[in-house]
Amino acid sequence: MVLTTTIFTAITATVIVIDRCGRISRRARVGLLLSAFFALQLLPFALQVADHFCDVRIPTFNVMPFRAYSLYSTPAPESFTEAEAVLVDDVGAEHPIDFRVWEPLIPRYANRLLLHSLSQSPESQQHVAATLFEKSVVALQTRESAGQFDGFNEYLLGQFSYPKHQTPASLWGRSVEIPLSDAVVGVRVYRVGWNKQQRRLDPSQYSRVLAYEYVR
Amino acid sequence: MNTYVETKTDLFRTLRHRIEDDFFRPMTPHTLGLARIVVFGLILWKSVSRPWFQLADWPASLIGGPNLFGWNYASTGSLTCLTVVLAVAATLGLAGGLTRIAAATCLLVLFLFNAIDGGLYDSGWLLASFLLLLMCARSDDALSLKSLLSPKRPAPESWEYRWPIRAIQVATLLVYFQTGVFKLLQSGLSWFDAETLQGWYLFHQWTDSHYFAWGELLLEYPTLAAVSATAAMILECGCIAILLCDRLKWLFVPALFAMHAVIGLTLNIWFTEYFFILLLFFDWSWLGSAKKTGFS
Repeated sequence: MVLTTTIFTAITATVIVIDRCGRISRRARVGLLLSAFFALQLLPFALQVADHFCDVRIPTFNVMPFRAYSLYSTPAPESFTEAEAVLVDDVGAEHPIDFRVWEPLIPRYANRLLLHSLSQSPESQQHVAATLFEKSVVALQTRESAGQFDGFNEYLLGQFSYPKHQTPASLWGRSVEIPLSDAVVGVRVYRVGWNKQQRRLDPSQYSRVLAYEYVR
Repeated sequence: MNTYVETKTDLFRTLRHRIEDDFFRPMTPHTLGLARIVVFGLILWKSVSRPWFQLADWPASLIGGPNLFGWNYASTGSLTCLTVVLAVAATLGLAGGLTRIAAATCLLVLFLFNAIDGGLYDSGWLLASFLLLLMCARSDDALSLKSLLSPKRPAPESWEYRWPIRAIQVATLLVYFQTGVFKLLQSGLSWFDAETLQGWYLFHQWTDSHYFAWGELLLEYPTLAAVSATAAMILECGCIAILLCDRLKWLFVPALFAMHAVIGLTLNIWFTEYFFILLLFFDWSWLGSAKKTGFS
Protein backbone atom coordinates (compact mmCIF):
# COMPACT_ATOMS: atom_id res chain seq x y z
CA MET A 1 0.00 0.00 0.00
CA VAL A 2 2.83 2.40 0.86
CA LEU A 3 4.35 1.57 -2.52
CA THR A 4 1.08 2.30 -4.32
CA THR A 5 0.61 5.59 -2.46
CA THR A 6 4.17 6.62 -3.27
CA ILE A 7 3.65 5.76 -6.93
CA PHE A 8 0.40 7.75 -6.94
CA THR A 9 2.10 10.78 -5.37
CA ALA A 10 4.98 10.59 -7.83
CA ILE A 11 2.68 10.28 -10.83
CA THR A 12 0.41 13.14 -9.76
CA ALA A 13 3.36 15.39 -8.93
CA THR A 14 4.95 14.65 -12.31
CA VAL A 15 1.72 15.40 -14.15
CA ILE A 16 1.25 18.70 -12.30
CA VAL A 17 4.87 19.74 -12.85
CA ILE A 18 4.66 18.92 -16.56
CA ASP A 19 1.31 20.71 -16.85
CA ARG A 20 2.39 23.82 -14.99
CA CYS A 21 6.03 24.24 -16.01
CA GLY A 22 6.03 27.48 -17.98
CA ARG A 23 9.58 27.29 -19.32
CA ILE A 24 8.73 25.04 -22.22
CA SER A 25 5.92 25.32 -24.74
CA ARG A 26 2.52 23.79 -23.99
CA ARG A 27 2.83 21.42 -26.92
CA ALA A 28 6.20 20.12 -25.76
CA ARG A 29 4.78 19.63 -22.26
CA VAL A 30 1.86 17.66 -23.65
CA GLY A 31 4.35 15.53 -25.58
CA LEU A 32 6.21 14.83 -22.33
CA LEU A 33 2.97 14.02 -20.56
CA LEU A 34 1.92 11.57 -23.27
CA SER A 35 5.32 9.90 -23.15
CA ALA A 36 5.02 9.50 -19.37
CA PHE A 37 1.41 8.27 -19.72
CA PHE A 38 2.29 5.55 -22.21
CA ALA A 39 5.43 4.60 -20.30
CA LEU A 40 3.24 4.06 -17.26
CA GLN A 41 0.93 1.85 -19.29
CA LEU A 42 3.65 -0.14 -21.00
CA LEU A 43 6.21 -0.58 -18.21
CA PRO A 44 4.27 -3.32 -16.34
CA PHE A 45 3.63 -5.05 -19.65
CA ALA A 46 7.30 -4.92 -20.61
CA LEU A 47 8.31 -6.25 -17.19
CA GLN A 48 5.82 -9.07 -17.45
CA VAL A 49 7.05 -10.03 -20.93
CA ALA A 50 10.64 -9.88 -19.65
CA ASP A 51 9.61 -12.05 -16.74
CA HIS A 52 8.11 -14.58 -19.14
CA PHE A 53 11.14 -14.83 -21.42
CA CYS A 54 14.01 -14.23 -19.03
CA ASP A 55 12.46 -15.51 -15.82
CA VAL A 56 13.62 -12.36 -14.06
CA ARG A 57 11.07 -12.73 -11.24
CA ILE A 58 10.01 -9.13 -10.77
CA PRO A 59 7.23 -9.20 -8.20
CA THR A 60 6.47 -5.48 -8.30
CA PHE A 61 4.57 -5.38 -11.58
CA ASN A 62 1.66 -7.02 -9.83
CA VAL A 63 1.14 -3.95 -7.67
CA MET A 64 1.78 -1.38 -10.37
CA PRO A 65 -1.09 0.93 -11.11
CA PHE A 66 -2.51 0.97 -14.65
CA ARG A 67 -1.43 -2.62 -15.15
CA ALA A 68 -3.51 -4.36 -17.79
CA TYR A 69 -4.02 -8.03 -17.28
CA SER A 70 -5.99 -10.79 -18.83
CA LEU A 71 -8.56 -12.29 -16.50
CA TYR A 72 -7.98 -15.69 -18.07
CA SER A 73 -4.93 -16.12 -20.19
CA THR A 74 -4.08 -19.71 -19.36
CA PRO A 75 -6.01 -22.93 -19.81
CA ALA A 76 -8.04 -23.81 -16.73
CA PRO A 77 -6.07 -26.14 -14.39
CA GLU A 78 -7.02 -29.80 -14.31
CA SER A 79 -7.98 -29.65 -10.65
CA PHE A 80 -9.12 -26.87 -8.36
CA THR A 81 -8.87 -26.30 -4.64
CA GLU A 82 -11.55 -24.01 -3.30
CA ALA A 83 -13.17 -23.14 0.01
CA GLU A 84 -16.85 -23.49 0.71
CA ALA A 85 -18.76 -21.97 3.62
CA VAL A 86 -22.13 -23.30 4.78
CA LEU A 87 -24.58 -22.37 7.52
CA VAL A 88 -25.38 -24.94 10.18
CA ASP A 89 -28.80 -25.03 11.87
CA ASP A 90 -29.77 -26.24 15.34
CA VAL A 91 -30.30 -29.83 14.19
CA GLY A 92 -26.91 -29.95 12.49
CA ALA A 93 -28.15 -29.66 8.91
CA GLU A 94 -26.04 -27.62 6.48
CA HIS A 95 -27.37 -24.91 4.16
CA PRO A 96 -25.62 -22.99 1.38
CA ILE A 97 -24.79 -19.32 1.86
CA ASP A 98 -25.98 -16.97 -0.86
CA PHE A 99 -23.02 -15.24 -2.52
CA ARG A 100 -24.83 -11.92 -2.11
CA VAL A 101 -24.06 -12.08 1.61
CA TRP A 102 -20.45 -11.23 0.70
CA GLU A 103 -21.32 -7.97 -1.02
CA PRO A 104 -19.84 -5.55 -1.85
CA LEU A 105 -17.10 -8.14 -2.48
CA ILE A 106 -17.65 -9.93 -5.78
CA PRO A 107 -17.90 -13.76 -5.74
CA ARG A 108 -14.50 -14.33 -7.33
CA TYR A 109 -12.79 -12.31 -4.58
CA ALA A 110 -15.03 -13.78 -1.91
CA ASN A 111 -13.93 -17.25 -2.97
CA ARG A 112 -10.29 -16.22 -3.09
CA LEU A 113 -10.45 -14.56 0.32
CA LEU A 114 -12.21 -17.53 1.88
CA LEU A 115 -9.53 -19.79 0.46
CA HIS A 116 -6.88 -17.41 1.82
CA SER A 117 -8.48 -17.68 5.26
CA LEU A 118 -7.69 -21.43 5.35
CA SER A 119 -4.00 -20.61 5.79
CA GLN A 120 -4.55 -17.99 8.51
CA SER A 121 -4.39 -18.30 12.30
CA PRO A 122 -7.32 -19.93 14.20
CA GLU A 123 -8.22 -16.51 15.71
CA SER A 124 -8.38 -14.94 12.29
CA GLN A 125 -10.47 -17.82 10.97
CA GLN A 126 -12.94 -17.40 13.83
CA HIS A 127 -13.16 -13.69 13.01
CA VAL A 128 -13.92 -14.46 9.34
CA ALA A 129 -16.52 -17.10 10.18
CA ALA A 130 -18.17 -14.88 12.82
CA THR A 131 -18.46 -12.01 10.32
CA LEU A 132 -19.89 -14.33 7.69
CA PHE A 133 -22.34 -15.71 10.24
CA GLU A 134 -23.51 -12.26 11.36
CA LYS A 135 -24.00 -11.03 7.81
CA SER A 136 -25.84 -14.23 6.88
CA VAL A 137 -28.23 -13.80 9.81
CA VAL A 138 -28.95 -10.19 8.77
CA ALA A 139 -29.52 -11.40 5.19
CA LEU A 140 -31.89 -14.14 6.38
CA GLN A 141 -33.79 -11.66 8.54
CA THR A 142 -34.10 -9.33 5.53
CA ARG A 143 -35.42 -12.23 3.51
CA GLU A 144 -37.95 -13.16 6.18
CA SER A 145 -39.30 -9.61 6.50
CA ALA A 146 -39.16 -8.56 2.84
CA GLY A 147 -39.91 -11.92 1.25
CA GLN A 148 -36.62 -11.97 -0.65
CA PHE A 149 -32.97 -11.05 -0.28
CA ASP A 150 -31.53 -9.12 -3.22
CA GLY A 151 -28.16 -8.54 -1.63
CA PHE A 152 -26.72 -5.61 0.25
CA ASN A 153 -25.88 -3.94 -2.99
CA GLU A 154 -29.07 -2.45 -4.32
CA TYR A 155 -29.41 0.12 -1.60
CA LEU A 156 -29.53 3.39 -3.47
CA LEU A 157 -30.20 3.04 -7.18
CA GLY A 158 -32.07 -0.24 -7.07
CA GLN A 159 -32.17 -1.94 -10.44
CA PHE A 160 -30.31 1.01 -11.96
CA SER A 161 -27.15 0.21 -9.98
CA TYR A 162 -23.91 -0.18 -11.89
CA PRO A 163 -23.90 -3.73 -13.30
CA LYS A 164 -21.73 -6.01 -11.25
CA HIS A 165 -18.55 -7.31 -12.79
CA GLN A 166 -19.87 -10.75 -11.98
CA THR A 167 -23.45 -11.31 -10.97
CA PRO A 168 -23.62 -13.83 -8.17
CA ALA A 169 -26.39 -16.36 -8.38
CA SER A 170 -29.36 -15.96 -6.10
CA LEU A 171 -28.86 -19.27 -4.29
CA TRP A 172 -31.65 -18.55 -1.85
CA GLY A 173 -33.96 -17.67 -4.70
CA ARG A 174 -33.74 -21.21 -5.98
CA SER A 175 -35.19 -24.42 -4.67
CA VAL A 176 -32.78 -24.91 -1.78
CA GLU A 177 -33.91 -25.34 1.78
CA ILE A 178 -33.37 -22.00 3.47
CA PRO A 179 -33.06 -21.96 7.26
CA LEU A 180 -34.82 -19.48 9.53
CA SER A 181 -32.55 -16.79 10.92
CA ASP A 182 -33.06 -17.87 14.53
CA ALA A 183 -32.40 -21.53 13.70
CA VAL A 184 -28.85 -21.09 12.41
CA VAL A 185 -26.17 -21.65 15.00
CA GLY A 186 -22.88 -21.51 13.13
CA VAL A 187 -20.74 -21.63 10.03
CA ARG A 188 -18.57 -24.42 8.69
CA VAL A 189 -15.81 -23.80 6.18
CA TYR A 190 -14.66 -26.70 4.02
CA ARG A 191 -11.64 -27.20 1.80
CA VAL A 192 -13.05 -28.47 -1.46
CA GLY A 193 -11.24 -30.09 -4.35
CA TRP A 194 -12.58 -31.01 -7.76
CA ASN A 195 -11.30 -32.24 -11.04
CA LYS A 196 -12.26 -30.60 -14.32
CA GLN A 197 -12.99 -33.81 -16.19
CA GLN A 198 -14.80 -35.39 -13.25
CA ARG A 199 -16.97 -32.35 -12.70
CA ARG A 200 -17.90 -32.28 -16.35
CA LEU A 201 -19.28 -35.78 -16.08
CA ASP A 202 -20.89 -35.35 -12.68
CA PRO A 203 -20.98 -31.95 -10.88
CA SER A 204 -21.64 -33.65 -7.54
CA GLN A 205 -18.23 -35.36 -7.59
CA TYR A 206 -15.79 -33.48 -5.38
CA SER A 207 -13.77 -33.94 -2.19
CA ARG A 208 -14.72 -31.97 0.93
CA VAL A 209 -12.75 -31.68 4.18
CA LEU A 210 -13.75 -29.54 7.18
CA ALA A 211 -11.18 -26.74 7.65
CA TYR A 212 -12.70 -24.80 10.55
CA GLU A 213 -16.03 -23.98 12.08
CA TYR A 214 -17.66 -21.30 14.18
CA VAL A 215 -20.45 -21.87 16.67
CA ARG A 216 -22.41 -18.97 18.08
CA MET B 1 26.64 4.28 -45.00
CA ASN B 2 25.52 7.90 -45.45
CA THR B 3 22.53 6.76 -47.54
CA TYR B 4 21.58 4.31 -44.78
CA VAL B 5 21.74 7.04 -42.11
CA GLU B 6 19.75 9.43 -44.30
CA THR B 7 17.08 6.79 -44.97
CA LYS B 8 16.88 6.03 -41.26
CA THR B 9 16.59 9.74 -40.43
CA ASP B 10 13.86 10.14 -43.06
CA LEU B 11 11.99 7.19 -41.63
CA PHE B 12 12.11 8.63 -38.12
CA ARG B 13 11.07 12.05 -39.44
CA THR B 14 8.09 10.54 -41.30
CA LEU B 15 7.12 8.51 -38.25
CA ARG B 16 7.37 11.55 -36.02
CA HIS B 17 5.27 13.65 -38.39
CA ARG B 18 2.71 10.86 -38.58
CA ILE B 19 2.47 10.61 -34.77
CA GLU B 20 2.34 14.39 -34.39
CA ASP B 21 -0.42 14.61 -36.96
CA ASP B 22 -2.26 11.77 -35.28
CA PHE B 23 -2.17 13.35 -31.83
CA PHE B 24 -2.19 17.08 -32.61
CA ARG B 25 -4.53 17.44 -35.58
CA PRO B 26 -7.18 20.14 -34.84
CA MET B 27 -10.50 18.82 -33.60
CA THR B 28 -13.75 20.21 -32.16
CA PRO B 29 -14.13 20.06 -28.35
CA HIS B 30 -17.26 17.89 -28.29
CA THR B 31 -15.72 14.40 -28.38
CA LEU B 32 -13.43 15.39 -25.50
CA GLY B 33 -16.43 16.79 -23.64
CA LEU B 34 -18.21 13.48 -24.12
CA ALA B 35 -15.10 11.60 -22.92
CA ARG B 36 -15.20 13.67 -19.71
CA ILE B 37 -18.88 12.82 -19.25
CA VAL B 38 -18.22 9.10 -19.85
CA VAL B 39 -15.27 8.90 -17.44
CA PHE B 40 -16.79 10.89 -14.57
CA GLY B 41 -20.25 9.48 -15.22
CA LEU B 42 -19.02 5.90 -14.89
CA ILE B 43 -17.07 6.72 -11.72
CA LEU B 44 -20.11 8.44 -10.21
CA TRP B 45 -22.39 5.57 -11.21
CA LYS B 46 -20.04 3.04 -9.62
CA SER B 47 -19.47 5.03 -6.46
CA VAL B 48 -23.17 5.45 -5.66
CA SER B 49 -24.08 1.88 -6.62
CA ARG B 50 -22.02 0.08 -4.02
CA PRO B 51 -22.20 0.18 -0.22
CA TRP B 52 -18.42 0.47 0.08
CA PHE B 53 -18.63 1.24 3.78
CA GLN B 54 -19.80 -2.33 4.41
CA LEU B 55 -16.28 -3.48 3.63
CA ALA B 56 -15.39 -2.33 7.12
CA ASP B 57 -17.45 -5.29 8.39
CA TRP B 58 -14.91 -7.74 7.04
CA PRO B 59 -11.76 -8.49 9.05
CA ALA B 60 -8.76 -6.44 7.92
CA SER B 61 -6.75 -9.64 7.61
CA LEU B 62 -9.20 -10.82 4.97
CA ILE B 63 -9.42 -7.70 2.83
CA GLY B 64 -5.77 -6.78 2.94
CA GLY B 65 -5.50 -4.40 5.90
CA PRO B 66 -5.41 -1.15 3.93
CA ASN B 67 -3.44 1.72 5.35
CA LEU B 68 -2.05 4.98 4.12
CA PHE B 69 1.35 5.57 5.68
CA GLY B 70 0.23 3.76 8.82
CA TRP B 71 -3.39 5.00 8.88
CA ASN B 72 -5.82 2.12 8.54
CA TYR B 73 -8.81 3.66 6.85
CA ALA B 74 -10.93 0.52 6.61
CA SER B 75 -13.52 1.80 9.05
CA THR B 76 -17.15 2.51 8.25
CA GLY B 77 -16.66 6.25 8.81
CA SER B 78 -13.54 6.57 6.66
CA LEU B 79 -14.98 4.52 3.80
CA THR B 80 -18.23 6.50 3.87
CA CYS B 81 -16.25 9.78 3.78
CA LEU B 82 -14.14 8.53 0.88
CA THR B 83 -17.27 7.47 -1.03
CA VAL B 84 -18.87 10.89 -0.51
CA VAL B 85 -15.68 12.66 -1.61
CA LEU B 86 -15.53 10.46 -4.71
CA ALA B 87 -19.17 11.06 -5.57
CA VAL B 88 -18.89 14.84 -5.13
CA ALA B 89 -15.69 15.04 -7.19
CA ALA B 90 -17.18 12.85 -9.93
CA THR B 91 -20.34 15.02 -10.02
CA LEU B 92 -18.21 18.15 -10.39
CA GLY B 93 -16.22 16.53 -13.19
CA LEU B 94 -19.37 15.28 -14.88
CA ALA B 95 -20.89 18.74 -14.82
CA GLY B 96 -17.67 20.29 -16.03
CA GLY B 97 -16.72 22.48 -13.10
CA LEU B 98 -13.25 22.40 -11.47
CA THR B 99 -12.59 19.44 -13.73
CA ARG B 100 -8.86 19.14 -13.11
CA ILE B 101 -9.19 19.19 -9.33
CA ALA B 102 -12.09 16.72 -9.60
CA ALA B 103 -9.93 14.37 -11.69
CA ALA B 104 -7.05 14.48 -9.18
CA THR B 105 -9.43 13.86 -6.25
CA CYS B 106 -11.13 10.92 -7.97
CA LEU B 107 -7.75 9.42 -8.81
CA LEU B 108 -6.60 9.63 -5.18
CA VAL B 109 -9.76 7.98 -3.82
CA LEU B 110 -9.60 5.24 -6.47
CA PHE B 111 -6.02 4.51 -5.40
CA LEU B 112 -7.15 4.18 -1.80
CA PHE B 113 -10.09 1.95 -2.72
CA ASN B 114 -7.91 -0.20 -4.90
CA ALA B 115 -5.62 -0.89 -1.97
CA ILE B 116 -8.46 -2.79 -0.35
CA ASP B 117 -8.06 -6.16 -1.89
CA GLY B 118 -11.71 -6.57 -2.72
CA GLY B 119 -11.86 -6.04 -6.43
CA LEU B 120 -13.81 -2.87 -5.87
CA TYR B 121 -12.78 -1.28 -9.06
CA ASP B 122 -12.19 -4.46 -10.92
CA SER B 123 -11.14 -3.64 -14.48
CA GLY B 124 -11.45 0.00 -13.52
CA TRP B 125 -7.78 0.93 -13.92
CA LEU B 126 -8.29 2.06 -17.47
CA LEU B 127 -10.83 4.63 -16.33
CA ALA B 128 -8.48 5.75 -13.57
CA SER B 129 -5.66 6.26 -16.05
CA PHE B 130 -7.90 8.55 -18.13
CA LEU B 131 -8.15 10.80 -15.08
CA LEU B 132 -4.43 11.51 -15.49
CA LEU B 133 -5.19 12.91 -18.94
CA LEU B 134 -8.23 14.87 -17.76
CA MET B 135 -6.04 16.48 -15.09
CA CYS B 136 -4.23 18.32 -17.88
CA ALA B 137 -6.78 18.48 -20.70
CA ARG B 138 -9.24 21.23 -21.59
CA SER B 139 -12.13 18.81 -21.34
CA ASP B 140 -14.66 21.32 -20.02
CA ASP B 141 -14.69 23.59 -23.08
CA ALA B 142 -17.82 21.86 -24.40
CA LEU B 143 -20.85 20.05 -22.99
CA SER B 144 -20.15 21.57 -19.57
CA LEU B 145 -21.38 24.09 -17.04
CA LYS B 146 -18.29 26.16 -17.73
CA SER B 147 -19.08 26.42 -21.44
CA LEU B 148 -22.66 27.44 -20.62
CA LEU B 149 -21.76 30.06 -18.03
CA SER B 150 -18.55 31.50 -19.45
CA PRO B 151 -18.93 34.38 -21.91
CA LYS B 152 -15.61 33.38 -23.48
CA ARG B 153 -16.15 31.10 -26.49
CA PRO B 154 -13.62 28.27 -26.94
CA ALA B 155 -11.81 27.82 -30.24
CA PRO B 156 -14.01 25.88 -32.67
CA GLU B 157 -11.10 23.53 -33.38
CA SER B 158 -7.79 23.00 -31.62
CA TRP B 159 -5.09 20.36 -31.18
CA GLU B 160 -5.81 20.63 -27.45
CA TYR B 161 -9.04 18.68 -28.01
CA ARG B 162 -7.42 15.92 -30.01
CA TRP B 163 -4.49 14.58 -27.95
CA PRO B 164 -6.48 13.37 -24.91
CA ILE B 165 -8.97 11.55 -27.14
CA ARG B 166 -6.23 9.91 -29.15
CA ALA B 167 -4.42 8.93 -25.93
CA ILE B 168 -7.64 7.37 -24.60
CA GLN B 169 -8.05 5.39 -27.83
CA VAL B 170 -4.43 4.21 -27.88
CA ALA B 171 -4.51 3.24 -24.19
CA THR B 172 -7.70 1.23 -24.73
CA LEU B 173 -6.24 -0.58 -27.73
CA LEU B 174 -3.07 -1.29 -25.76
CA VAL B 175 -5.12 -2.96 -23.03
CA TYR B 176 -6.73 -5.28 -25.57
CA PHE B 177 -3.39 -5.93 -27.26
CA GLN B 178 -1.65 -6.72 -23.97
CA THR B 179 -4.36 -9.15 -22.90
CA GLY B 180 -4.10 -10.88 -26.28
CA VAL B 181 -0.33 -11.13 -25.96
CA PHE B 182 -0.62 -12.53 -22.41
CA LYS B 183 -2.90 -15.25 -23.74
CA LEU B 184 -0.41 -16.12 -26.46
CA LEU B 185 2.55 -16.09 -24.07
CA GLN B 186 0.93 -18.04 -21.26
CA SER B 187 -1.20 -20.49 -23.21
CA GLY B 188 0.41 -20.67 -26.61
CA LEU B 189 -1.59 -22.69 -29.08
CA SER B 190 -3.53 -24.42 -26.33
CA TRP B 191 -5.60 -21.22 -26.00
CA PHE B 192 -7.37 -22.22 -29.21
CA ASP B 193 -8.46 -25.59 -27.78
CA ALA B 194 -12.12 -25.89 -26.91
CA GLU B 195 -11.11 -27.16 -23.46
CA THR B 196 -9.72 -23.78 -22.45
CA LEU B 197 -13.00 -21.87 -22.46
CA GLN B 198 -14.91 -24.96 -21.35
CA GLY B 199 -12.61 -25.30 -18.31
CA TRP B 200 -13.13 -21.68 -17.28
CA TYR B 201 -16.87 -22.05 -17.71
CA LEU B 202 -16.79 -25.04 -15.32
CA PHE B 203 -14.82 -22.88 -12.89
CA HIS B 204 -17.51 -20.19 -13.10
CA GLN B 205 -20.19 -22.76 -12.46
CA TRP B 206 -18.45 -23.28 -9.15
CA THR B 207 -17.58 -19.70 -8.17
CA ASP B 208 -20.91 -18.22 -9.28
CA SER B 209 -22.88 -21.39 -8.62
CA HIS B 210 -24.68 -20.56 -11.79
CA TYR B 211 -25.56 -22.30 -14.98
CA PHE B 212 -26.06 -20.17 -18.05
CA ALA B 213 -27.90 -21.35 -21.11
CA TRP B 214 -25.27 -19.74 -23.35
CA GLY B 215 -22.44 -21.10 -21.24
CA GLU B 216 -23.85 -24.61 -21.47
CA LEU B 217 -23.60 -24.24 -25.25
CA LEU B 218 -19.82 -24.00 -24.84
CA LEU B 219 -19.82 -27.42 -23.17
CA GLU B 220 -22.24 -28.89 -25.66
CA TYR B 221 -20.48 -27.67 -28.82
CA PRO B 222 -16.66 -27.78 -28.54
CA THR B 223 -16.35 -26.15 -31.97
CA LEU B 224 -18.23 -23.11 -30.67
CA ALA B 225 -15.82 -22.87 -27.71
CA ALA B 226 -12.79 -23.11 -30.02
CA VAL B 227 -14.19 -20.52 -32.45
CA SER B 228 -15.00 -18.14 -29.58
CA ALA B 229 -11.48 -18.44 -28.14
CA THR B 230 -9.94 -17.88 -31.58
CA ALA B 231 -12.17 -14.88 -32.31
CA ALA B 232 -11.28 -13.29 -28.95
CA MET B 233 -7.57 -13.71 -29.69
CA ILE B 234 -7.89 -12.26 -33.21
CA LEU B 235 -9.86 -9.28 -31.94
CA GLU B 236 -7.54 -8.56 -29.02
CA CYS B 237 -4.34 -8.81 -30.98
CA GLY B 238 -5.76 -7.38 -34.21
CA CYS B 239 -7.59 -4.29 -32.99
CA ILE B 240 -4.29 -2.43 -32.56
CA ALA B 241 -4.37 -2.13 -36.38
CA ILE B 242 -6.89 0.69 -35.91
CA LEU B 243 -3.86 2.87 -35.14
CA LEU B 244 -2.55 2.28 -38.65
CA CYS B 245 -5.84 2.47 -40.52
CA ASP B 246 -8.62 4.46 -38.91
CA ARG B 247 -11.31 2.86 -41.08
CA LEU B 248 -10.74 -0.47 -39.36
CA LYS B 249 -12.55 0.92 -36.32
CA TRP B 250 -15.81 0.28 -38.17
CA LEU B 251 -14.90 -3.41 -38.16
CA PHE B 252 -13.17 -3.85 -34.80
CA VAL B 253 -15.18 -1.59 -32.47
CA PRO B 254 -18.56 -3.28 -33.15
CA ALA B 255 -16.79 -6.65 -32.96
CA LEU B 256 -15.34 -5.74 -29.54
CA PHE B 257 -18.83 -4.72 -28.39
CA ALA B 258 -20.09 -8.13 -29.48
CA MET B 259 -17.14 -9.88 -27.77
CA HIS B 260 -17.93 -8.24 -24.42
CA ALA B 261 -21.62 -9.13 -24.80
CA VAL B 262 -20.78 -12.78 -25.50
CA ILE B 263 -18.32 -12.95 -22.56
CA GLY B 264 -21.06 -11.55 -20.33
CA LEU B 265 -23.69 -13.98 -21.55
CA THR B 266 -21.49 -17.08 -21.38
CA LEU B 267 -19.02 -16.54 -18.53
CA ASN B 268 -21.05 -13.94 -16.62
CA ILE B 269 -18.19 -11.42 -16.61
CA TRP B 270 -19.31 -7.90 -17.50
CA PHE B 271 -16.79 -5.25 -18.51
CA THR B 272 -19.44 -2.53 -18.48
CA GLU B 273 -17.13 0.45 -18.84
CA TYR B 274 -15.74 -0.82 -22.13
CA PHE B 275 -19.19 -0.55 -23.74
CA PHE B 276 -18.99 3.19 -23.09
CA ILE B 277 -15.26 3.72 -23.66
CA LEU B 278 -15.53 2.14 -27.11
CA LEU B 279 -17.97 4.92 -28.08
CA LEU B 280 -15.05 7.34 -27.87
CA PHE B 281 -13.55 5.83 -31.01
CA PHE B 282 -16.10 7.77 -33.04
CA ASP B 283 -16.27 11.47 -33.83
CA TRP B 284 -18.99 13.24 -31.86
CA SER B 285 -18.52 16.69 -33.40
CA TRP B 286 -22.15 16.61 -34.56
CA LEU B 287 -23.09 17.26 -30.92
CA GLY B 288 -21.85 20.80 -31.55
CA SER B 289 -24.07 21.30 -34.60
CA ALA B 290 -27.03 19.77 -32.75
CA LYS B 291 -26.47 22.36 -30.02
CA LYS B 292 -26.48 25.19 -32.52
CA THR B 293 -29.76 24.01 -34.03
CA GLY B 294 -31.32 23.76 -30.59
CA PHE B 295 -31.22 20.04 -29.91
CA SER B 296 -29.22 20.39 -26.69
